[in-house]
Amino acid sequence: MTPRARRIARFLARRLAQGVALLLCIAVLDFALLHAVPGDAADAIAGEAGTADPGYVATLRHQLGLDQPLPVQLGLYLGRLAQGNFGYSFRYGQSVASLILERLPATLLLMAASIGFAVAASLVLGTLSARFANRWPDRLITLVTLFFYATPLFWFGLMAIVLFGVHLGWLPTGGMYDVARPRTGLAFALDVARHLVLPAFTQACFFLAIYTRLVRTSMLQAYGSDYVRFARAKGVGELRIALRHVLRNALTPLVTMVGLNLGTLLGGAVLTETVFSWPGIGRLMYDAVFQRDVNLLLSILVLGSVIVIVANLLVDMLYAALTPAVELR
Amino acid sequence: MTALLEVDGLRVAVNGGAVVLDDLSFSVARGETLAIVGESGCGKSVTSLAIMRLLPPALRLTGGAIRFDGADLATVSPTRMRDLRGRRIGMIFQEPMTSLNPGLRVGEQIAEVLRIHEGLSRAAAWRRAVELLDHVRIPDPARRAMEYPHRLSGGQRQRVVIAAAIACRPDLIIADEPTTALDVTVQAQVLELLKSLQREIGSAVILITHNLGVVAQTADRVMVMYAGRKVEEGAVAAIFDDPRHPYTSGLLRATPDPTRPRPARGVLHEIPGMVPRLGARASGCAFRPRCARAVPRCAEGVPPLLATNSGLAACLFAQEGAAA
Amino acid sequence: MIRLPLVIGGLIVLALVAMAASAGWIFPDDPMTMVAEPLLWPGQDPAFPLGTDSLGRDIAAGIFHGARASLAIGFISSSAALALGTLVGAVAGYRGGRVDDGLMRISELFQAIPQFMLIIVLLVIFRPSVATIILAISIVGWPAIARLVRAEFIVLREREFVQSCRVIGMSGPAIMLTQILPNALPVLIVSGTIQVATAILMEAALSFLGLGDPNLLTWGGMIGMGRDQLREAWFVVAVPGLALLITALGLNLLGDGLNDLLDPRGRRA
Repeated sequence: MTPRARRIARFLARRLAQGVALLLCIAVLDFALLHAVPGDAADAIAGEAGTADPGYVATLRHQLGLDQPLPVQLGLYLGRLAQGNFGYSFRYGQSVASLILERLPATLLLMAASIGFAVAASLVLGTLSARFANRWPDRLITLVTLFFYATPLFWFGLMAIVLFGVHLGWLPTGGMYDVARPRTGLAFALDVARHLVLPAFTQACFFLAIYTRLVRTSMLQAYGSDYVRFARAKGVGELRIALRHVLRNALTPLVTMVGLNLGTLLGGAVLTETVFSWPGIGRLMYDAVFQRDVNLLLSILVLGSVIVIVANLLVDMLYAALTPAVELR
Repeated sequence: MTALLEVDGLRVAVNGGAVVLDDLSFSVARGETLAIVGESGCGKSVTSLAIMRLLPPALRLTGGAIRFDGADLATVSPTRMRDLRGRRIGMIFQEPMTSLNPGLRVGEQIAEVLRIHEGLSRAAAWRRAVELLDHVRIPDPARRAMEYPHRLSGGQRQRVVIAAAIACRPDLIIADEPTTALDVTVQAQVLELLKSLQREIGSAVILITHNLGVVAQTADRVMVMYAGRKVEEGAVAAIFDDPRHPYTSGLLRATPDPTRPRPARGVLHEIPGMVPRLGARASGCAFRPRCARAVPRCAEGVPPLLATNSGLAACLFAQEGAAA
Repeated sequence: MIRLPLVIGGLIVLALVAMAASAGWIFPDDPMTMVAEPLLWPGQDPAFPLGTDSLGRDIAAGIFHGARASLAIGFISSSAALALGTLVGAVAGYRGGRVDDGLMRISELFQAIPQFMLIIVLLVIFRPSVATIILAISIVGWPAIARLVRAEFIVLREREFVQSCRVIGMSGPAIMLTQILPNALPVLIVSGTIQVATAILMEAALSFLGLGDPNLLTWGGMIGMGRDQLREAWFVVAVPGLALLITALGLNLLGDGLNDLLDPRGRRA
């Protein structure tokens, strides 16, 4: 292993350990919240199953280990979580884990599309903004990002539905695909893509605003830097300077910021998926709110955290690839 | 010797405003070293950036010609200029800490020049980069080439910058304060390296510095600048012996010189006052407010460059013997 | 130099405060009661310039009364987050060591949990009311402020004037309170202003999802109610949304403007 590879490996291992520790804390927090609910899981399950027979409840309580002391219960709870056992949802007639996993791809698709769009658009807008710093294109972009930053995302989604769905009729306004069409092949992919446009754009707006400002600042810094001047003095062309010298150094803060925003992004998915009836875990959470299904809510929260932590590890790897190893901490 | 570079009546101004360089003319012959000296703010760096056509956006070339080996750099196309940069004119900047891209291996930053200008393959360019690192006396060059700039000391980084600047054996090397940011002990080594490379390649060098000790060690000729103009020019030994512009003699008296004890009772003088800000330059001779010899006539127009025993000097009293 | 963002932002915020204060006598009746025909378009009846919703309630009255709820929840939760964040961040930044490590771990925890999801869970468990909403929003809001304050205190504690206070035997809390805090104030004011905007948007999102205080008329709640008639009567959704947008815009402009005003050397670049 080269020293750089070793350093990167050490960095990623440390991040992985931190992730696991975080997850443990979140699980404990969940356990505490679960116990804050009046009544316990046995009452809840009995209630959902439509029975209040004290004998049944007592048996359930014993089965679930709810008659054990709290630390033992915590251990049991963590053990169950580690096995991916989040309990059973009577309302949906399936295990919570499979319920969530079923919805997960839709949410991941939405997240990936909105991050991808926000990053790509912010690179273009931020570069333009920096290129024309303090002239009208820059001012216009700044104004637009200011609006995007201040717009409530669920409202933006609703207005997009009114404009593009109802009045112009360009795009579908809800769901992930047309139920009347066959769900195979390219046609299906295109159908999903059409359904994805409005939710992904809605979800991306806020982040687009933040990222554009970030890219503008780092582009300005990079273009004013001594190393770009030196590259020019070496006879390096503008395109190569932009791609090799500037973009690379401007990307690092962007990658860091994307990592920091993942939790916010996933939280926003609850709103976006609710507005656009997108069949992901955000929409599932909204339904669980209505049904006051605390166990399902907490499970989504845990899994949401797992997504954020795993996605952050991916971001860390990207970061490690972009940054000289010396700077990895 | 034929002139390699001939700057003629160069003018640079802030966009629609103050004049930074005013009617600057000088030439550099093949293989010779011209030192440009003056305090900061005199226009030395702007001169070098103007030659490279790398002026910051706020500055604009407003007149004059920069003839380099037959072509006028002031008017050649950007593509042509880009081709000359790095290949026929190499530039070394003052700040080795920031001149290198922190996100690229140092080897790549040298190889880049060779790939662009000599069309070398990735592998060939890398091999040449390692050779160049060896050439600028960086130990263990194959391993060093893999490093990112952070791992290198200031002196080593400046050697990398020099390696990139000489990679294509340019006819002209412009070195803008190449040793100012370095430790004193390293300064001498880097300067020595630069000199030996110059001898080997046969390049001309424009050395920009405010350190007259460096000038004495390295340059053939010296040009003194003040407030965007040339105030004195000539062979180094002659000017140092017999400065005719009061600014030059002021600079000399402000410099400790171990190799050449000056008769001035070993006292270092400083020039009173400061370099004028842009747009706040005095009428007539710009040095007038700081000059002990100034007379009312000095305010009447910019003093012309007069021929002296040691070269040219822009002082009304230049032909009346040594400046005070 | 005219500080345009500061002026515009300040005017918007002032107008909001005026709306909230005058809601009671401009629209003395309960904004939750039916006053006219449902779904009157804006301008259709001069008595109801912004129209009525599906239950025949005056939207203009809703906007004015909603300003009260938004501002109150925004300001109170931000103040709470600011107070707690400042306390923790100050101690962590000044003392360093374990306290600092602990804080950093907690704020990492809050970064990993999708905050909005956490608020939702908290509100479902503890039932939405003005108090629980404020509490939930401040619970997720304070770590970011604590990080900011910590960073500021770490820089300031090394400054000469702080060092000299230590030399003359001033106590830690006294130094933090009288020497460092005043210097960290600009950062606090700016981030506090922006936090108010964030809190208002968050409350609106919660009300939209049906997790608002059921006894309170809020802009987010109005949007949530209007969603069912989105196709026929989009103005019911558009008007309170615009109110939210202008409010958030105003607070952000004010924050940016204050930042330029309080930080003339442009440390933020």
